[in-house]
Formats: sequence, C-alpha cells, structure tokens
Amino acid sequence: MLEAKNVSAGYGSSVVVDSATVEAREGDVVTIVGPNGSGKSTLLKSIVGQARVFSGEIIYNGEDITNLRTDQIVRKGIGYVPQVENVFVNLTVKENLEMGGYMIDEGLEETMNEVLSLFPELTRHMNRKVSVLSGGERQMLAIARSLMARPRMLIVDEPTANLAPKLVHKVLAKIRELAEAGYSVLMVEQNAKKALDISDYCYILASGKLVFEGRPKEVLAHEEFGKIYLGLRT
Amino acid sequence: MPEINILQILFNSIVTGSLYILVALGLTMTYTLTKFPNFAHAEFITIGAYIVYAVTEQLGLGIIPGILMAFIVSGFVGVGSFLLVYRPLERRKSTMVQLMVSSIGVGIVIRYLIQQIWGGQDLRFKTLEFSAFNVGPIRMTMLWVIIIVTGILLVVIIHLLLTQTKIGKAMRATAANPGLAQSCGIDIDKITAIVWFIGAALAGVGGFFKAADTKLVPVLGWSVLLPAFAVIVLGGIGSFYGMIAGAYIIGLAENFSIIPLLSLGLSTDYKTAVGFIVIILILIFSPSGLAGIDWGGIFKRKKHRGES
Repeated sequence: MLEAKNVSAGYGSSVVVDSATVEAREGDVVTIVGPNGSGKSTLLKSIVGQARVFSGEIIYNGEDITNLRTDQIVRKGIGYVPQVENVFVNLTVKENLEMGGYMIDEGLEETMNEVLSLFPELTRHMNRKVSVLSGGERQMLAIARSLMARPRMLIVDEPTANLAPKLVHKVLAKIRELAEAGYSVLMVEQNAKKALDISDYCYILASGKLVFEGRPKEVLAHEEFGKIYLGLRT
Repeated sequence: MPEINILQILFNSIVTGSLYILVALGLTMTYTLTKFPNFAHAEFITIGAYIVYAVTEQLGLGIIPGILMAFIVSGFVGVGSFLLVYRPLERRKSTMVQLMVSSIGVGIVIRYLIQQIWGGQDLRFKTLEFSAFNVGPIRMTMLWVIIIVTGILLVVIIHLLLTQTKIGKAMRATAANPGLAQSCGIDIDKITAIVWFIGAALAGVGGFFKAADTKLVPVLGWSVLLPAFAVIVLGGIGSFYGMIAGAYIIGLAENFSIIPLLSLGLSTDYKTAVGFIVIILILIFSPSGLAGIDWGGIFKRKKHRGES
C-alpha cells in the first residue's frame, strides 16, 4: 500500500533520515520506534510532504508521491495526524471535523456521523471550542479530523505524547480499532512497549538509520533492542 | 467655544469607525495569514480611489461601475503583489522585517505609478454631489450614510463568510495553522491569494470613500493607514471582532477629543493623536489589545461580586 524506499530526508540541507525503507500494508498497524532524535517524525513528515526527500522514493498504491505538497498527498487518500498542534484551536469541534472533510464534495454529514460513531465522546462537544477539550479528547479529535477526508491510510505522529497513562491505552486501543475497521496505520510512538502491543509490524530507527524490522514479539524478545533503543527493561 | 452637539459627534464617530473598518479589515486579514504588516496596503487604498476617479470622472461611466472596477483592480494589485513579491520572499524564508520593508518598496512603486498616470495634484470627485441634510439634530450627507451602511454590511458579510462558508472556515484554519490546513487538503496558496484579493479590494473601496469625503492625492492611503494599523493593534492583531471594536473606539476617541481640544483652544487636527493616546493606554493594561482581555473572566467576577 505504502512504501518508502531508501529515503534520505531532512530540512534545508541537513539530512536527518539516512536511506530508510519502510512499508505499510493494507489493514496493518505499522509502528516506527526508536530513541529521541532518531528521525522518526522526520521520516513520517517526508512521506506527507512536510520534510524534504533528498533521495529515494515514496510509492503509494503504485503511484510516486515523493515530494508532493501535503494537500496533494492527502487528496490521494493518506490522512496525517501531526504530533503537536494537530487541531485548530480557534475553531469548534464541528468546524475542525468540517475542515478535515474539506475535500469532500458530497456526503459530509454522513461522513461526520460515521466518524463520530468511532469517537462518540466528541459528540457532546460539537459546538464548543477545542480549548475546552482534555488532552485525550483533543487527540481523538485530531484522529477523527484526519478520518473525515475518508483516507485509506493514516499516518500518526506520536499519538500518545503528553497523555496520562489511562489515556495512552485508550488512544492506542482506538488506533487498533481503526485498523480492524480496515484502515492502514503507520505510526511513530515513544511508548514503545504499548505501541508494539497493538502493532502488526515494526521498525526501529536510530540516528536516522533503520536498525531493525520485524514482528513486535521479535523486538520484545530481543534483549539488546529493548534496552538500547526502546528503553525497555527486561 | 461653539455649542457641542453630542449626537453629531457620536454620528461622526460612527462614520470614522466605519471608514476605518473598510480599510483595516483587509489589513487584518492579510496580516493574519502572512504575519507581516503590509505597508503597501496604503497604496491598495489609494489605487481604488483613483480607479473610481478614472471610471466616473474621466470615462463618465458612473459610480457603480467605478466602485466595481476599484474592487477588481485593487484586488488584483493585492494578489499580484502577493504572488510576485511576498510569496517568493516567504519561500526564501524571509523574515517579518524583510517582508515589511519589501512592502514599503511595493508601495513606493505603486505610488509613483499612480503619480505618473494621474499627476501629484489634488483631485476631487466633481460629478458626485453629496449635499448635506438634517435628521433631527444631526447633520449628515448621503456619503456618510453610505459609509456607515457599507461598514455594517461588510462586517455582517465577512462574519458570515468566516463562520458559515467552507472557504471562510478554511481561511480561519489556514491562519491558525497552515501546516495542518494543508494536511486537511486545503490549498493554502489559493486561500492566501483569495484573502489578499479580498483584503486589497476592500481597501480600494474604502479608499474611494475616503477620497470622496476629502480629496484625492497620491498619499491618500497613508492618511488612513496609520489609524488602520492602530485599529488592528488595539483590537488585537488578527482578531476580526477586536478590529471592529477597535475601529469604533478610535472613531469615538478621535471625535470626542474635539470637546477638550476646543475647550483648551487647540486645533482639532490633534484628534488623530488622541486616538493613539487611547491605544497606548489600553495596550499598557492589555498588551494583546482588546482580544487579549479576558472578558468572560471580567463578567464572571462582576457576577460573583453581585451575588456575594
């Protein structure tokens, strides 16, 4: 479905990600983990057109989307949820969802109802400004907003950053739920253990390079990876 | 000292405030999206007035085609300056100061072009007759009434545009977070260009009203640009509703200052300075302008005091 082949990417002239290859298949949750500053978010940003790809290519459903503008990439069916500032704080919850569905010409109401059925907790806040939402609700809104564009694939950057432990579980469970509903998810996550629990496949990125890829249980079983790259205690 | 007619001063304040809304609205819209003060806005104001002059006085086609042409030409001058100057500079990561200085350059180029075409002398709209009449104790002209009605209509239209339409919500979304707007599929270049068109077009129409009320000179825009900046700073930069309140507050401050100025035997020309003194006082207490004041908190505290 999505393949980033030998991608080197960064900002200005500085290379942050060095020749990384990742793949996300239909209906899978694929997680990229690694220490702080390893280039995980930059890799995601390069896929959605918010960081520059210096070399390599990004193929989505057989089409080359390398270095396209973000709005062009989103129009191809990829939803993006940034790590920070991922909702419009000056708009209401409903307006945020409407902006998520900006590209939809018909059936906005139906799409909103479908999305709200996945996130019923947002329903009671529809006409309120985002500032009244809790951290977890904001994160739910950010994901819901991206679903409004009817994407087939979601790219999610650290969805549990700054969330209370209870909410971490809730948000990750929701992401798994989305995969069960047919969405593909490519995610970067700091909460490595919890993220791997809901993932089908994972990559470990360190200092801009891929150091491992495999099934989550392989990573969790590997003492060295857990300790060095993921901060897991064995 | 002449007799003071409070209702007349109040009416004049509303006329001044409405005129400031016309010119400040575009300025606040472009600032919100591109985050720099566009000094060439003065020339968007001026060129609109000259276009109406050309269409009505020189071509004799009437006022409505004149205003329409001013709207279109000023709009295209605005969007042209964005596409040809500011956007390329933004893409080269120019700072706010560099963009601001370049806007002064753009303004000078337009001003000299205007001077080249129409000359530097004072011009007046001779074919437009706005005779004065009385409504109770208030003396007014049809032009002033049109300025007020246009100001109010514009506020309502822009409010509806921003809150009820897809494109308006996309403008607010782009202003708040361009990167996120893009990830919603919004073409932010297109949205920004539309905002520059509307902002400059409104400035052009406002320029005509200012010129029709006074006279037409190549520096016309500068006479309203500074109060327009004052209005948006007072309202809270980027705040649409703050800008509206700011426009009428400045209008009231300027016109009511005539009373103390006359009683002190000073020239009423100082009224513009009084408007700025009001801004300084408000900014000392609320550096973010009117939009930065926690109105909800104030009302809550008042209510609590009332209850206790």
